[in-house]
Amino acid sequence: MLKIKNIQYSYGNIKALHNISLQVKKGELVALVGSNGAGKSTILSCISGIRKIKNGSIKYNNQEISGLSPTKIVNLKISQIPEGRLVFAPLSVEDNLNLGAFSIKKNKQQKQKMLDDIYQIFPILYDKKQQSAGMLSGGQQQMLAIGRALMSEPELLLLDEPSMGLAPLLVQEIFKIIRQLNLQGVSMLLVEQNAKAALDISSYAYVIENGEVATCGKSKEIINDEKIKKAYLGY
Amino acid sequence: MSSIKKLSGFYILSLLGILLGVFFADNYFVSVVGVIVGFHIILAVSLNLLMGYSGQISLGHAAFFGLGAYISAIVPDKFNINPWIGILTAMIIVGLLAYIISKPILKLKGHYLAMATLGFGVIVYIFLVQTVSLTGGPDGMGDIATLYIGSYAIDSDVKWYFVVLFFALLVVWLSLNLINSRAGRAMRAVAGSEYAAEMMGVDTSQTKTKVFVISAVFCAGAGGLFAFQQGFLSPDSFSFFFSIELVTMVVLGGMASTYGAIFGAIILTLLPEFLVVFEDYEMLIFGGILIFMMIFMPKGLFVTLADKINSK
Repeated sequence: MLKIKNIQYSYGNIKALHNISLQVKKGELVALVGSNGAGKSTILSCISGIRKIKNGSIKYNNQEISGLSPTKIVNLKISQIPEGRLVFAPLSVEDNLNLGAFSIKKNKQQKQKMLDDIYQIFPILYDKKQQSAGMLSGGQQQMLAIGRALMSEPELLLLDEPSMGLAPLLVQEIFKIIRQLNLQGVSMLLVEQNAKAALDISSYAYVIENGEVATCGKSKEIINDEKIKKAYLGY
Repeated sequence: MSSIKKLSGFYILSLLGILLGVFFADNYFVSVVGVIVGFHIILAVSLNLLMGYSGQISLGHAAFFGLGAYISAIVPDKFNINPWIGILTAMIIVGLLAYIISKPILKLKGHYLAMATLGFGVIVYIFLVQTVSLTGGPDGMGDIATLYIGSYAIDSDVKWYFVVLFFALLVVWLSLNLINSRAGRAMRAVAGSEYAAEMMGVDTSQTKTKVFVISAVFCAGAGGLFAFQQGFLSPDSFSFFFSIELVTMVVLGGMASTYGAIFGAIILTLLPEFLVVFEDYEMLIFGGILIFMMIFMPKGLFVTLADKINSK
């Protein structure tokens, strides 16, 4: 579904990504783990078109997408949940969700149906639909960010640190929802600092270190490999 | 929410405007100050679309107002055409100009955008002062024709009050509808976070350009009416200080609230009228009130009051 080959990206003179290659198959949940500043989030923003890669190729369903604008990439059903949630604080919860469906051309009833589906996954959002998003707690904002991304009916969801700044119980809940969504058929690329949680729910994982793929493999194997754990994951 | 309930504030505002005009037609504050309030409402509401809802500052909006006024006055005079077509021409020219300058200018953010728009405002002001053969330069431009609706001349203060009220309400109505639409959500998303807005598939630079042009065109239209209402134009009405006054109206009333902008326009126009009794100390007290309001009501007068009422 998604095939990244030898991409490079630099912030000015600082090389952030050297020759990263990875792929996500349809229906798969792939995790990118690794330490702070390894380049995980940069990979996601290169896929979603916010950053333009220097070299290499990003193919989605065999179509080269690396030169496309973020708008066009969203239209291809790739949706990103940004790090730090970035909900639109002054807007109501419902308006935030409506913005998620910005790229979708549907009539009012169909959009209402989509909203109802999101409210079914996150009942708390229904209770607070008229409140401004800035008034929500961190966990609720993360739910809103996920709901907002789902409103674009993504086939590939890019998740950037969904557990950031959340209490352990909430992290569990968010991961449960992510897993459910994956089981419903949404392919996912998950960037996480919380390596253990990410490896638990993913089927395949890449360990990113200094802008390179240090190692990759089935999540179950990585989680049981003492060497990798010691060297890269620090637990 | 039904559309009637959504627009209830608008209907109350319209009714109030009409009643004031009918029952207090001879009152100085209605027929003379009221017209100016109307112009300021159009300008503040337009600027608010850009500043409040889309998060882009402009310190040069008086320039669009001024260009609109001068073009509306000059075109009918030189080419002997209907003044309304003059106003329309002004709106189109200003719209095109705004579109052209928006491309380089709106790439800037924050302070840099403020600087660039300020520069634009100053350039237009100097242009109005220097092109003496066209604009009359610093001496101003007089003998602007009377505006007619069909064969009906708009030749008294009260008539102008209703004309300006009509257009002010039109702009308010358009603005209220715009911000509750899909395009309006895109604008507010851009104000929230351009990064996140792009992830939603919002074309941020196109959205900013559109709002900038719409806002400039509304200001130009107001300028056109202003030219015919005043009958005389001077560049000083469109200086940098007036741009700042417009920004103050938006901030004082409450950013990202159409009613806030209306409120700000009303207060900032009326306040100096009431402070005249303080004579030499007028500006001192005026400034003091502004500082006081911003310290205790940082979200703006209208928004703070509305929040208080809603929370009860």
